[in-house]
Amino acid sequence: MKIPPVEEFARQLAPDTTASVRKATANLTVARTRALGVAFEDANAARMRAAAIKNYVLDNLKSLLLQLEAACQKNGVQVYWAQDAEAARRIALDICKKKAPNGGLIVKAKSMVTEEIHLNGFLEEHGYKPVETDLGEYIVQLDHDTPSHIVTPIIHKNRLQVAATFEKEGLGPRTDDPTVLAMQARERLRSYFRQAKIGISGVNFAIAETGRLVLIENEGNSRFSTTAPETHIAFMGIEKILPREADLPLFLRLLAGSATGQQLTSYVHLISGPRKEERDGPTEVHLILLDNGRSGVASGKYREILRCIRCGACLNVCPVYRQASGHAYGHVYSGPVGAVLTPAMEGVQKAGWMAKASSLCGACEEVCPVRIPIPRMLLQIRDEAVSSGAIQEAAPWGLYAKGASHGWQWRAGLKLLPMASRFPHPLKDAWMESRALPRRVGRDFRSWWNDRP
Amino acid sequence: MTGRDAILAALPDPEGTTPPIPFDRERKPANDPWLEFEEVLVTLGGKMLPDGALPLLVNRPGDVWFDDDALPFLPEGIARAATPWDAEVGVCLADLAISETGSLLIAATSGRYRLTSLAPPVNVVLVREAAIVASPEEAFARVSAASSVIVTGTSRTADIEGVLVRGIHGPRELYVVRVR
Repeated sequence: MKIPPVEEFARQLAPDTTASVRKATANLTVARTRALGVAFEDANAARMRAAAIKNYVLDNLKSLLLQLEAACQKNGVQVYWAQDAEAARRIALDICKKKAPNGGLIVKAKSMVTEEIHLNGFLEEHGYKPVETDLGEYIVQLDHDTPSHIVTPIIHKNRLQVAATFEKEGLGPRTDDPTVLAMQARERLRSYFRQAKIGISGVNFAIAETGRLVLIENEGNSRFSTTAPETHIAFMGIEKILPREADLPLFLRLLAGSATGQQLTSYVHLISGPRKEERDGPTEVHLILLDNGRSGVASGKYREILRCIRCGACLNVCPVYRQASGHAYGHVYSGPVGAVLTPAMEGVQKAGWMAKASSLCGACEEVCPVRIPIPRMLLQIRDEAVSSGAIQEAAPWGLYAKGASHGWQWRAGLKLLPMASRFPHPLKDAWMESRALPRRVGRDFRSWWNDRP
Repeated sequence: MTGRDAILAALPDPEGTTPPIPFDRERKPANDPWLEFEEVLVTLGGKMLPDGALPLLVNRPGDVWFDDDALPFLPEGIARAATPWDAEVGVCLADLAISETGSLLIAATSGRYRLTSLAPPVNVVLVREAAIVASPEEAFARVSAASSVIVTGTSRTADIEGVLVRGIHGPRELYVVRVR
């Protein structure tokens, strides 16, 4: 039998990596439960309300985007609309060329949407030096690697690997103490913050009512990236809107609790445009609204995936993610959410296979702060991918489906099944090592049903 | 067709529904909000100090950066560092403290520097005695229209093996002083 790509990847992972990922995801899952228990008397009610608010946003995306645009412009923020990744990259490059025609340093805050559009490579081709300033993202960039988790990007690396990278980059004497390593990065990145003319970030929430851009973080690098340089360029997927500022406390708590087990992150930035009466801060703020397939998803059957607030809780709890880690999925968005979002945005033909990287255990929906029915959508995508010929279900399931849909085959199968456990079979070897098929006792349900008085 | 028109055309027409009401948590206010604030702050790597400690905190000539509105609370004749980047200590005045989460709300209002509470490794935050609310929900009802930050503890990271490190980019020490 052909091994699916994610399982293949998991089998080739170094034991070190699997151990790092398992430990971190388990810890984050425990921290999440504790934090939400403290934050809410009824965390379920909070998640239901968050889901309802995000549904409202998706229902009214058109008018909310127009409201956001007007509010941002009133705040002095320049707003751009990008239909796809190419358009978004071009808009950013045009701004950069105006502000720093000869290229130069750009400091970047952690942003999945800029990963999605592969911004860094593009800016490098045009003579700029974008530097990731979140510690994990910085390490990923130095290693020419990609993030393997949407919240904790180097979940697949251990301190020895980080130590080797920093030594090679000349950040300081070799050490495997995470505190010293962090201080080495602090010193190097601090000089970048001070020099850079342009800062780039994502957006966690944008408030339609006030045009306020909300960013959350723990390190302070987002604050530097959006404060120190003269120009701030923010990217956001069009679904990141919240209607009102009064909605923020709920979402801030859900996001911090689900992502890292905190009540609030160390920093919540409420950005109301360029410098006004204060003495520092950027003199220009640009907001790039990115569609890149989202408008299609918003009117299709996977629209609920756009409720996602990128907390990573579904990755942490997923038995497949825990075993395989993020790179196994081969796309920017990994884990259960990635296995729905990627085929929804890029098409089932191209990415439908990702939906097979699931045990359908339902844990992702259980932890989702906006209660996205991920398992149901994984099944829908699998179904769509199989019927369009993009993927095939494993042969035994095909046989089962055939047998189960014909009466006489089903009855014959039921009769034969008890016997099957007595014969050796290659398919059941590994599974049966520590298990036994139940033995049938007495008569079967159908004959009992037919014979009842 | 511009990107704007194309995106708007691709989106479904608004349903015209009304938004669900914002989520409201029921929470008993603490008997002593400042005590609750202090208890939470300590778990976040911060400390509360009596205002008598202020002169000691800023007794580093040339190494202290402060906002204009923090000056009245500082010892007379205190010198300001050349820039916030070069200072060891940054002193700012917060607009609100939030007792439940141990947070501080700092708005970038007239004359303030956003870097005061960010660049120096030690951050001293002054808060007026009466400027405390019970929860983030209450704070958001009073938040300024200016760019603002809610600070909850020190700058931190756990990117390397989940080990907590304080002061990765922002302050590693956070002191809160109640002022009148």
